[in-house]
Amino acid sequence: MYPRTNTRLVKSGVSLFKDKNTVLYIMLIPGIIYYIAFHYMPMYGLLMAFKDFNIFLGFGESPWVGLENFKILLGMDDIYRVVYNTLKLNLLNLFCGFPMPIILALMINEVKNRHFNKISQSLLYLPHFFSWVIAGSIISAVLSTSTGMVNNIIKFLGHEPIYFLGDEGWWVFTYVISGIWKDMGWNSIIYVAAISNIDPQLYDAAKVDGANRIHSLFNVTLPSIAGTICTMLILQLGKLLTIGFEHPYVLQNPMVYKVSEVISTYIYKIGIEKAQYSLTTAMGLFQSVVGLIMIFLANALIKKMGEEGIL
Amino acid sequence: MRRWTVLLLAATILLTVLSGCNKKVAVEDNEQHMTEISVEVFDRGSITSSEGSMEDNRWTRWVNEQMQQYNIRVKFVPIPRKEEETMLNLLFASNEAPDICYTYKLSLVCNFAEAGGLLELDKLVKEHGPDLTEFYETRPGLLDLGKYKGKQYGLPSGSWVDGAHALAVRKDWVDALGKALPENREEYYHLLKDFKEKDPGNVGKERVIPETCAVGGTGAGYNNIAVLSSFGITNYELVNTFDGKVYPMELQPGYRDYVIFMNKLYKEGLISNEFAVDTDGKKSIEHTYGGLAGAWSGNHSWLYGSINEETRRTVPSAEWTFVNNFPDESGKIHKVIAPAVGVYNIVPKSCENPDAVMIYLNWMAKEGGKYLMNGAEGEHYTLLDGYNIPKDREYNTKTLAYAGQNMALIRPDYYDAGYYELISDDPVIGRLSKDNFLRMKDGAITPEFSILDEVLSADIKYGTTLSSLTKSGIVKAIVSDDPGREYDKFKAEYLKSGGQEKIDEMNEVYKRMSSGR
Amino acid sequence: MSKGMIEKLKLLPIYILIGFIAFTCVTPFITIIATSFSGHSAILTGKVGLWPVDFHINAYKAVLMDAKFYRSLMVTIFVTVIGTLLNLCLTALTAYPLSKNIKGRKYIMTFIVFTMLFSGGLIPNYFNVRQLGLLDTVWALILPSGISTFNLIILRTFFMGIPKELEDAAFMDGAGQARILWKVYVPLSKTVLLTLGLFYAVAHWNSYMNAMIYIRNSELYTLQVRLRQLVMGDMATQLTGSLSNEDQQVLVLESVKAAIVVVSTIPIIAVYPWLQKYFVKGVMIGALKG
Repeated sequence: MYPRTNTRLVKSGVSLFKDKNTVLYIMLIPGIIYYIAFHYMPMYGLLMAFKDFNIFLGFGESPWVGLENFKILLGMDDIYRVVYNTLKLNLLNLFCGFPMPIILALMINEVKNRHFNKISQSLLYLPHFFSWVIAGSIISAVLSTSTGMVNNIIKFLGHEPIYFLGDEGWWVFTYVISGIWKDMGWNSIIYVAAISNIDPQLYDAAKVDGANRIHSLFNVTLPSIAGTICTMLILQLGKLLTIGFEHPYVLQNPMVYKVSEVISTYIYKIGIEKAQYSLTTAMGLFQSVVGLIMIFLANALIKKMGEEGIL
Repeated sequence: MRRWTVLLLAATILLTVLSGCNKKVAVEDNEQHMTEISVEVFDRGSITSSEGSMEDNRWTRWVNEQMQQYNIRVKFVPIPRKEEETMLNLLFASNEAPDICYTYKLSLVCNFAEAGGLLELDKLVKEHGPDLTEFYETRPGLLDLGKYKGKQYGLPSGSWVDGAHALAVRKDWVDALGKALPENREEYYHLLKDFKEKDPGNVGKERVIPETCAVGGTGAGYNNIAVLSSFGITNYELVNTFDGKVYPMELQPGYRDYVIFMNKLYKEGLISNEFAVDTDGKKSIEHTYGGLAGAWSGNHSWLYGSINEETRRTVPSAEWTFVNNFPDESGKIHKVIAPAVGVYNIVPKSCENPDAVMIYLNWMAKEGGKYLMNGAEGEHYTLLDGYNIPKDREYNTKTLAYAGQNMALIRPDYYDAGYYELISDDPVIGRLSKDNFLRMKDGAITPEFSILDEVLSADIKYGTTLSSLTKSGIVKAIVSDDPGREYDKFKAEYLKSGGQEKIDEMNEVYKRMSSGR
Repeated sequence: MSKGMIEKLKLLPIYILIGFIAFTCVTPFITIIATSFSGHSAILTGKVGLWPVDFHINAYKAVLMDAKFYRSLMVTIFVTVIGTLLNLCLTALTAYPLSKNIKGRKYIMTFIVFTMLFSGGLIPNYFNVRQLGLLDTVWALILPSGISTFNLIILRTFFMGIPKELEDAAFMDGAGQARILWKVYVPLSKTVLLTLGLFYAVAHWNSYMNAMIYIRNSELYTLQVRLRQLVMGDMATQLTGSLSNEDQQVLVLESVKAAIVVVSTIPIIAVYPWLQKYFVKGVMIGALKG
């Protein structure tokens, strides 16, 4: 029936508090302190977006330049293409990459064989642990037009080798697929955990009502993990304009410069040569603002659909 | 559950105590008025526990013994090599930078100098650095490399050898064809064709790569030094002037023809068809060491032994030999060797004891650097024909290498051809090294200026765009069907995207530098 | 064919698909293991596939036979264990109130989510840690990552999914919020807590940047810092262009790089299967009756 409760609980000092919510606020205190101490106290760094940061004058003494940094960024030739590429790759990742871990988790759920399950799950998240530097060199080797395994198969089937990394279209394809491959297993863990929490009685009840596998899937499994899916979706949308650095960087080469230069790699190249700290902060600020707006929008939308948002 | 909690708690306490226990015992300073300076030292993770740590080992102790006569105490601050740039930025920003820092990146030096954080060293060197001055006199052009806007902010350490690129070919393949080493572009082209069609190395006609190159890694990229010379170009921009002006290499007249030539090679399968995506040079190395490649243009660090050593593991009869640069239409050979910088030593403005710093660097220029690089006679090296020949490589790697690489702030020793012949275990490799060394230096000129002494504002604005444009534009032209037109397209875009500004600024700075002489 | 067999056959495509994906995931790892046992020359000439060529164990000797390695391993284990425990406590403590309808919840959540997107940057964070007196201590590796907002949100969402009836029942028995959290919510969230624990632990294990910046004392180097020290010649040197100023003597064996990957990854891989047995169905058995 209910979880075992203990009449001894009555004697706990908690009953001293009149309002049961006071305890809740007290519980929040360590967390709030943490966020203030380690996240809000260094926030002044964001102001560098509005200053001309001189490393020796420091944060206080560096001169204010208002929106000058943003003007410079907007004036950079490449900036529009770079933002466009970032957006394009992220959207592709969203449409193709977001559902994959979910589908994988659902498939794993169908597999009843314990041993197969255990072994395959342990293998699926392996690529997550390689750094992109390593994963990149593996991918280049596998997709090489001369000695790569994939192209060997293609040549065997009688076709011309595909220039996966050298052709602009194929590069985008390779980028998206490699991203999916690398993190699909790891990202599915959270969905597997959510699915394993579903009460089996729900499935039994559905079966009694005449549901087959597909019906169970749509009427029991998916609704039960809907909350998790929505949460992950909102978080993913918050990253719409941010993109990791290593993934595009290790796959880049001069042939695909036009489609592969993204915000992170572009900023890195500016930063590393010119030490333009203010510019990079300004760009980061812009990305963050867009992300915040996306989260608000997505959150409101999801709430309208009846799910819990994150705010 | 409770048992676990208790165990965990006990483990925590134990480990905390252990980690706290390792505080260093403060050195008792009984000496009166010893000046202390802090010096950066790279930590490459190469020091073994038996030697100690980068801040406390036999060499740090030795340095302090030597410095006692000057009343200077030296504290070493280890910085992980890989993150040297980030760390340096951090240290400078938080005013914690050691009194002497060093970096491989000129841009760092220029940026710090521009922001007003570095000490000008001109006067200090004059006052306290007689040995330093002498050292720099033996390396013409080196000191200038550390100048920014005409003032001395960085002191280059110099390096064991000078820097250059050269073209290498498989001499054993050339011999098998009954030919001689190519002496001009035409002969080189025919040689590559023969490599492909006749396969003198017997590696298989589909597998042979007559010339291998890559867009990244340690090679020269798609720039074949010898061929460039035949079009009147070197890879040192300030050395070629056309109509009295300097241009970025890819915009020099003649480069367009170079691109057309390389395109011909590409289309005929004479250069690796994957070079454009080989961003780390791995494929190119596979070709070279695997015995599949017949020619390669690259930098000096491969010249002395390594390329032959490695290739001969797969093909014991391999012989990589260097070919002189090819003459242009008028018969002139363009060949430049610039002094290799090593690291730039810089001093933050906040340094409290600049005199002591200079005394230390001065000592480095003669005794310090020499000893840290070579070790003790008898223990680490023996004297032979005036050269310091390492005795036991493993022992030296363990007990000496970390000092020479990271602590020798000035490198007074300079290796030449004879040295490379003597240290080789394999007589063939020894001979090849010596030959290659001599051949590389033969006929080379040392430029008056090898780099601009100022960071261009155009570079700050457009540098990233321009370098990406250049790489992609040239590569695209080389693989395209109409290289001339692609190149023109690239050039137009380059000039439009800030390239013209950059060229104008380059020339202004160059004019200033030349008139200052 | 019996009904059971038809059911099994329907599953066949799924088995094959998962098997194929798992295969593509594990093959690179096998290649890396093979590389870690292979000779330098064989690696550079591309001869190494799934099996070592020119077998040797020098790479592992170089990585494992140094006292510094074990020291850094101890540090990392400490940070991982203590850090993860701290993380879970803080996360649960913060997620729980935020899963209830308390006043000001939206503002507090915004306050927290904001930090996920906006950060002060490397240098201010460094100054901050320095100001708090944590530089060069093991706490600089544990405290700054106290709560991952991502994990917090996941836990909160999960808490929100636990039926209110359970809470009400416990109240009727006189329990306060703290007891409810500890005796009701935590047991029910074992799966998720373990998952988050895994996320936190892996993050600690792989953490590199913080350790690199905040720790100067080589006694407190973490595993990743120690291991990565041994690796040179990747992205950074590529950018510096072709005329390298570096000394050729510092070339690191490819096999050592591979051994480092293996050594730093194996512990995590070993832990996961052990965790899996908790991802078992039926955690909520009986909880919903009535």
